[in-house]
Amino acid sequence: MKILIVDDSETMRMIVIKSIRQAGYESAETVEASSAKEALKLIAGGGIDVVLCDVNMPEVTGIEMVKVVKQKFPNMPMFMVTTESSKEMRQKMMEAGANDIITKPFPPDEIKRVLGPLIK
Amino acid sequence: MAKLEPVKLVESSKNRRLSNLLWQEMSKLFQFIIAPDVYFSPFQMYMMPLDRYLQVYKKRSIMFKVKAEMKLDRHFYLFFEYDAAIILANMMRMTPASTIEEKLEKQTFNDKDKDAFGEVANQLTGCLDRLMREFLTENIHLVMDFEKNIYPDEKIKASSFESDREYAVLLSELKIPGFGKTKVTILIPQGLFEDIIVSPIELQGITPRYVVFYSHDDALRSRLEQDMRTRFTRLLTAAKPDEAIDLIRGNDVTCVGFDFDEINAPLDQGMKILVKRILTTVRDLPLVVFMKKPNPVVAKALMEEGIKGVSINPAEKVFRKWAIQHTEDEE
Repeated sequence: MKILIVDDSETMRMIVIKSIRQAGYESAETVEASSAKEALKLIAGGGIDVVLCDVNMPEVTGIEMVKVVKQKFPNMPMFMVTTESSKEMRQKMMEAGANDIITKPFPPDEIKRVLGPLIK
Repeated sequence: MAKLEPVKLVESSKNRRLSNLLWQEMSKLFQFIIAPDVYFSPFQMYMMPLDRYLQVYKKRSIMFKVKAEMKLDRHFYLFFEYDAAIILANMMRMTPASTIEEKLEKQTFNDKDKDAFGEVANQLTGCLDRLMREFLTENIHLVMDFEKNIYPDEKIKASSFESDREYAVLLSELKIPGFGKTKVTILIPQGLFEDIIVSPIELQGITPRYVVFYSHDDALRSRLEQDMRTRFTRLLTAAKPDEAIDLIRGNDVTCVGFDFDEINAPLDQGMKILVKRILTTVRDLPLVVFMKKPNPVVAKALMEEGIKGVSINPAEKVFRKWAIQHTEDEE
């Protein structure tokens, strides 16, 4: 299982990876991207099984990125990682094609909840 | 105006609920960021003007603001002692403890640390945003404003803050295993705090004084209600003269303002009767009357009926200062 983590904050990428390990997925391979542009290149290159993506990123937001990815790769599981809790924003994320939302701060169980069904 | 010293809030079930929920959310966050055994103490709550807080609490700090866009009074300031910011940022970055110790000794807080701390601030913003949805019925969305300034510095003086009014100051202690204790403070404007708990703030040793104000103008009443929230003053507003008269009779009132529509001279019988009723109710209380399109002829007519305080300036410009003089000078 190859997990792509997309966030403009290096710190946040580290936290997500730490949570993946704490959730028990020590053997999952993780790949990082600091922007939507970088992430799209990695996805197009193949091999990515799931994407965990921040919402508020400069230039191209997470929501815009999800739309683009889902158009080209409709079966790519995409999860938004965000502090946003408003109904409107959450609806936008789901309408864009996100599979689910992980709200920060999140315990490792949240990672298990979204990745569990995907990881055999 | 009296010098405003920090005063403890009287605890109530309402403000305790806010304080507890905020404490729980922040504890969870720190336990997630730092370690499960980090301790974040329950808040102690005070009220004071911002410049008094800055005088009392001069420690080097990282400060950031959390605000609702387009709503000036919906904001929070959060202060983290400098050491706490260094520790939190570096624990987020999984920096080894020995390196953190070194950074504390040298008081280093570089750009990467600031970015990492920005993520702490971002997640705290999320906590506050979720809480505000729980407490406030209005549609509010909080965003973070973190300029990475280190207080105190030229950019962070009392004059650069959003409001010159008083703030509820929530103080807490963060105990980080291996690094000792440090303070975290949240500042909430009095108006926002009272809207969240749906109750006026009560302060130890201070009994506020009541002021009654009548105006047909809903927007003016609403603005004055916001503007006149001080520790010494409780403004009771009325949309009709009769409501104002009932408020005066039902409360221990310090002073009264009536903001009338356009009045013509000579006064008609209805106006004369109303003036008489007001004067009988108010008696010796300070009273000021405003009107739309004031003029000396009407002012004279009102004074002939017994009203001593007739203003030729609009209520918006004058009433607040006049009323607060009566409530605060009597302290």
